[in-house]
Amino acid sequence: MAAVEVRNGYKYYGSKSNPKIVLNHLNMNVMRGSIYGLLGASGCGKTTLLSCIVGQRCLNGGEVSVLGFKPGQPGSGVPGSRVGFMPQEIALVEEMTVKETIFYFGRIYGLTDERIREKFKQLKDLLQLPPARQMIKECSGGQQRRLSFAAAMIHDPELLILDEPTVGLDPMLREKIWEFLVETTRNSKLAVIITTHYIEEAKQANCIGLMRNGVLLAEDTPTNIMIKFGTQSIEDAFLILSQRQGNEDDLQEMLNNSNQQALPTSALPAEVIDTHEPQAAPEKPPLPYEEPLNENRKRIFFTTKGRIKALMTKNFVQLFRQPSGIIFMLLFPIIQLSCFYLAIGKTPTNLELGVYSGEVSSYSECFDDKLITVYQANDSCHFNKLSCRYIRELGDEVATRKYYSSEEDALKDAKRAVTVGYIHFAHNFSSSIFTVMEDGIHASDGAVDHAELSVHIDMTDQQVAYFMQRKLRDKFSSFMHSVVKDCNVSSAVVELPVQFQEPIYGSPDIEFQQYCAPGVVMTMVFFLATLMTAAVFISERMDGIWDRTLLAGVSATEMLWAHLLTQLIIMALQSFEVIMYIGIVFDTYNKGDTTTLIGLLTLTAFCGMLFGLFISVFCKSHTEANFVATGAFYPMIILCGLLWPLESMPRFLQDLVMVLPFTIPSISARNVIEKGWGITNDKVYNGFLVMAAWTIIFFVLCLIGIRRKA
Amino acid sequence: MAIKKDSALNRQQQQQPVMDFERIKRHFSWSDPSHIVSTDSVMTATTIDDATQTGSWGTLNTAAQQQQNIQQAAVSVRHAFKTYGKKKSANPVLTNLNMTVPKGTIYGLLGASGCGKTTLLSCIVGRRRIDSGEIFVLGGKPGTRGSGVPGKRVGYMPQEIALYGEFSIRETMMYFGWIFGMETKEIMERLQFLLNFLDLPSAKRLVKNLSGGQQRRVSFAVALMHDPELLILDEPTVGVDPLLRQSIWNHLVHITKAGQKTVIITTHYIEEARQAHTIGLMRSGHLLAEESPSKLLSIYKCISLEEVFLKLSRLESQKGEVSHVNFSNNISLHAMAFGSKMDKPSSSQDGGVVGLNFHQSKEMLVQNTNGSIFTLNQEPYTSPPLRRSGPNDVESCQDCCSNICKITTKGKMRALLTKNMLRMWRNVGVMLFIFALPVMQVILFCLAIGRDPQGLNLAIVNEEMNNSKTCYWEDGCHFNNLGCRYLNHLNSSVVKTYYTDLEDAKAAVRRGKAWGALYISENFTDAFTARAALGRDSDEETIEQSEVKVWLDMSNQQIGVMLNRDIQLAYRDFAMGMLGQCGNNPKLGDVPIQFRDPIYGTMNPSFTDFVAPGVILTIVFFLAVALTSSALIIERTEGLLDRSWVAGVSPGEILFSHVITQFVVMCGQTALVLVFMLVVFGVTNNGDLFWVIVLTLLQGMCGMCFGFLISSICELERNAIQLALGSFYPTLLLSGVIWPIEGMPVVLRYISLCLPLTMATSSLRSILTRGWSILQWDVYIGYLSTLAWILGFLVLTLLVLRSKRG
Repeated sequence: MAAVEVRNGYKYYGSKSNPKIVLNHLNMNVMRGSIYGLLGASGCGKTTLLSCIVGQRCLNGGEVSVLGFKPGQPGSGVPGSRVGFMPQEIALVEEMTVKETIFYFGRIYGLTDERIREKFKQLKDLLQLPPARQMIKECSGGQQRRLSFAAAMIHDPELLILDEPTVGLDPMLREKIWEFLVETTRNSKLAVIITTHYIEEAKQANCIGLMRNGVLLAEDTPTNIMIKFGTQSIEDAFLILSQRQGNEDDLQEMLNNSNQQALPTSALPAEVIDTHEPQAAPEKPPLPYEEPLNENRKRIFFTTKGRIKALMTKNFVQLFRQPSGIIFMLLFPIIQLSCFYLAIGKTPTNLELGVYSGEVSSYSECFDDKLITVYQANDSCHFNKLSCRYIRELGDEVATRKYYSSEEDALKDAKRAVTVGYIHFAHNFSSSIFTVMEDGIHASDGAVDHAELSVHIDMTDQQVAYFMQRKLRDKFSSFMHSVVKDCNVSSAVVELPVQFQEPIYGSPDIEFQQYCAPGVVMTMVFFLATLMTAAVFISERMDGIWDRTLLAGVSATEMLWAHLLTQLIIMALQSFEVIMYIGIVFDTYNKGDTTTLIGLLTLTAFCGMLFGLFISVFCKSHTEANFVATGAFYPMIILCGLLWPLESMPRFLQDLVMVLPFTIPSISARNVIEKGWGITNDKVYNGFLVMAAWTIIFFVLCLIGIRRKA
Repeated sequence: MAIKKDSALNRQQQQQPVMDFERIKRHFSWSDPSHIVSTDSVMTATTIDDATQTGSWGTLNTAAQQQQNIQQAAVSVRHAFKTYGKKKSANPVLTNLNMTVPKGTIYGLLGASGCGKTTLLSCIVGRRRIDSGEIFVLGGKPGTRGSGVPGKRVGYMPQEIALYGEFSIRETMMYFGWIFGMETKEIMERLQFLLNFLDLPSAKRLVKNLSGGQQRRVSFAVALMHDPELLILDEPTVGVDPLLRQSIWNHLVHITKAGQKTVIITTHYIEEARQAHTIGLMRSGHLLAEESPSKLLSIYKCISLEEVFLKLSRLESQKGEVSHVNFSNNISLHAMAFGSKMDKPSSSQDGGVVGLNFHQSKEMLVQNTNGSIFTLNQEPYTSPPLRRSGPNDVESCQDCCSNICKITTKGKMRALLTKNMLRMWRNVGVMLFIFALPVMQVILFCLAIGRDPQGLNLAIVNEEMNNSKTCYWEDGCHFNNLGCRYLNHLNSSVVKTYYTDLEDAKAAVRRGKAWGALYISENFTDAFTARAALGRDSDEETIEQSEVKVWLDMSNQQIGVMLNRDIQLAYRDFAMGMLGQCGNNPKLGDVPIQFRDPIYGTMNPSFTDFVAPGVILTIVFFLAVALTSSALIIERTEGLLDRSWVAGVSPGEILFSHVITQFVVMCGQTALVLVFMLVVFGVTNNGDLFWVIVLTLLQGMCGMCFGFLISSICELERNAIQLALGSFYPTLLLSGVIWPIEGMPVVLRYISLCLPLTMATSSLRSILTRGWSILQWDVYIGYLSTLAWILGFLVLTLLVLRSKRG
């Protein structure tokens, strides 16, 4: 009875109009209880054929039947627990120990822990596996191969597929494996397919197929082949066959030219020899394969407990045994946040401001305690060296004062950017002020001019300039207040008739940092999650673990869920860390509900995580993933209104930007922190809604992508 | 030695014609089928050449005898030791290895993967150095000046394809031809010949579109390109179609027939090596045997070479446990690194394994029965000392020449530059990354950052309006409806929404509908007039009523501050306008603090102007980082680097070619960024454009050097990109690009000043906004720090590279 039967297998890659034919009407028969050696040069289609057999790919034409079923059919057990597959690469998680690996595969196949333990013991002796606690990356190459072999054998499959299994193995061990295979196939119905391009090795197989350019040139027992071609080695036979088939390039050319039409094998220049005798006995209709039931197989709505346990264990082990990953995960947010908090948005300090007063000959006069600047006489206030009073009022906390004895010097230093600018008092500043106070609107123009202090500032640095302007104004108004108070006049006289009351939200001295903190924290949380997950599927695919797990019957969706759960836990940790750090170290005051904030951040992180998964589903390489992640990151930071108010953007851009995942949520976060709004406010729950919408979009895209890939 | 000198002198006189003749002859020695058949005639020709060169048979003979030991061998390795890893946990790869490859033969180097074959080969071509022992290749030590190794005397075909997929066959050949210093015409001739010879498709086909077998043949053609004296093939037959394998061997046999060429081939297929003249069986770092295949079979009385190998391996294993440990170590090493490689030779039980029986190979085997005589026979033809010193002298002369004139040759530079450019050009993604990304960033930045917010809602309660919808006022010195007159001065960025009740207005702010509430009392006009008239004698009530009250939402700092400023300015304008029209000094209405003409900049500075310099520099800097760091690593992982290296290209030249390519790209990027910034979006530039460009380019260079450093540290492209991107965000935050560094804590400020972008940014800012010249300290310090960083990165790169090599 045939374990595997391929009839007229036809498969091409590329577009329909320009196909690159890989399998060209290939026929193949693998009997139960036998070893089948599939031989051929690299690129002849071996791997494609195998992936069609295990149901990973589909043929474009022809039929495959594996263990009586079409692979991939529900209930066929293929891919699943009826086949065992050992890929060419090691395809094991490096960070897992030997035991964990065995348990991982055992659980995926739905074995009970007890059964796994038993089987492990057996295989351990047979294959001389390394100690159970040893990590795979610490095993030698040969040990890794053996373990990989053990993992393919753990569930006693009916069909075992070994892709170049003997690479790097000790000769003794190789012999042992062959012996084992021969023994098992003889005593059971196990069918084994072995590929190799080391042709001589296949002599022990029951049947070998010589494959070239997508067809089997011959399929027979090794001895028969040698006899048939009168050669002493299979290699020679292969050479003769190849010569008959003709030059590879011509063939390729022919295949390509004959475009899409199904090319009958007989049209090939050399005849294709299929020495296989058709099976005489009619095959019984296949019995539906029933999965054995046990506790690990209990279905939990779409997956089984064993599988999820296995996948989750794998993910966690993988994550936690990579110290750099952990460090990155925990330290990076802190470094980023610290950089941000320390560097951005703080009040500028250590500025120098030039001061020149024409009223005083020496500035030490100003700091003379005996100096009286305001005295009352004749019902009116008289002033003396008022500029000193302002200078004293100014203090050094805004900017360090630097005194000049001439305006030219002050200007020169300002020009050289030693100081941010300078203040200039006229020589009759005090008397001019007196005149203005006394005469009001009737004061002479000269007096009005001289009663002002003029300020020259370097305006190139907008932030510093605005800061200086504001501070000088504030100081001036407090200076005037104190002056009029000394004069016993109502302070309202010197006040600007525009009165700024206590702000409704925030404080009058709000810093830039407070403004951009919510946005920064959110983008950080989002992209950290993205970075962490963006590589997940890619490295899994590259290592071959992906394929291997799929072949064990785990669906891609299950893998997605397992990763989702794992990342969720880590992400929760990370956002907790970020929030704690902000809360404790930097003491960002939060007027709103902390839980709302945490909720929003967690949702952001979740969305970021899904974005990462989305990237890793659609990108083929790490490089690509990195570029997509950063490509998304920088525009997002610029556009989401984190550095600069949205209101300043052109109208069309504003509308566009509202759709982005951060824009509305960071406004929500700001509303919570600064205004203390609750979740019921539409400007807060809007953010939640937008984030949730993006989460759902990413998730759906992930699902679609992963379905398409599988 | 005197004789040698003599001959060298003699030959120098005839050097030119002889060299030409030699070259032509070599070119066709095995290409022309008729020549191949009549091997003898070629050999005689060689002899005659040599004879004429020296002019004396006697000298020739003595010299030949003197140098016999070294000269007979194309490659000779003596007592080679090599370990990887640190001293404590050293992993020996070569242990006391001796190897002799006679000239004009095929040498099959056999052994399991990981037994040290590849290391040995890389030592032979000078890619690596052995820890101790001696290696002579073609008479010289590999890697020494004038040895021609690595260089045009060796051809190397690595295990992988190691060709760039985006090149056509012609471009690939041009690349290597130029590196070998061939003329374009010469290359075309050779290309045509090789295409026919190896049955390759049209030269215009891209390598990536070729089938696997064709790619291998192109790879083989590249190794044959310059007709080298020594051809080294690393597993050319792994996973190759039987027919192709046969044709490769046929070639090799042809090539060596003339006696001029030597071939070293490694393989796992032990039986395949039967066609070799000599085979070396290698195991755990040394050769178990080195003999002709037939001799080996007869000595050990085996039918197949495989058996011989197994026998020898067993013998050695019995000798000691130590070597066994070594062995397994090696296996593990190999399996981890090359998981998918072929297996090491097995201990097949059946004895009847016979190798490939090609017609040619049978012939060879017949010849081989003579064993070493075969090789001995060939020796006298090639008069060794002359043949060696000949090319050597020429080489060294060329070398000194090129050393004096220039570091590299025109051909090499041309090849490398063409390669870099083509690679970039053919890769759409990279092109987009290079040119679209900076433009996009600049556009987004200029659109989104730094403009004044527009359309801010302000809830206004003006009780003077008496619930009417219109706010009417008259120009001139009239004192009515002053509230409306004031409101008119609020600039256009504010959207005024009128409310009748103050509480409503405040509630609107509280609900986030407006950014602030503004209240004007019902007798504002009267109170204001009274206040102006009475001056300091006005009573409390008047004063209070004459005030405009404002409640702001300060939760958004930028908007809050902006509104605050606008409202104050509006009042100033209003008051000054009034006073002016009433014939008073308008200054009376002003705040007595007067911001005069700014020293630099405008009265209304924009955030864009502040951030723009930093943004220009970061874009150029980090694009350069991303591009260079990945370019070098890709080159390394593709294997093209190794191949070029063996072809005689030094790492310095490769680096240099990348610098030039990058520089061209950078000029383009700088132009794009500056055009968009300064012309399209009109960012202020008061300085000298020339110095702006210079600084931008310098920063690009700095980024490039940082990229070099990253690529020398990281093995994987993925790590490099992560490092490059990871360094981006902190640098951006700490370099004072977004926020003045004066806002940082003092300690951090010093750290910030040490970053590559900080000084340069402030320098560029000074040029753009202050219009300073290069002579200002603040400006040239930026240039100096950038230069210092460039130097620093380069030194670090060299250190890292050196430590890695050691």
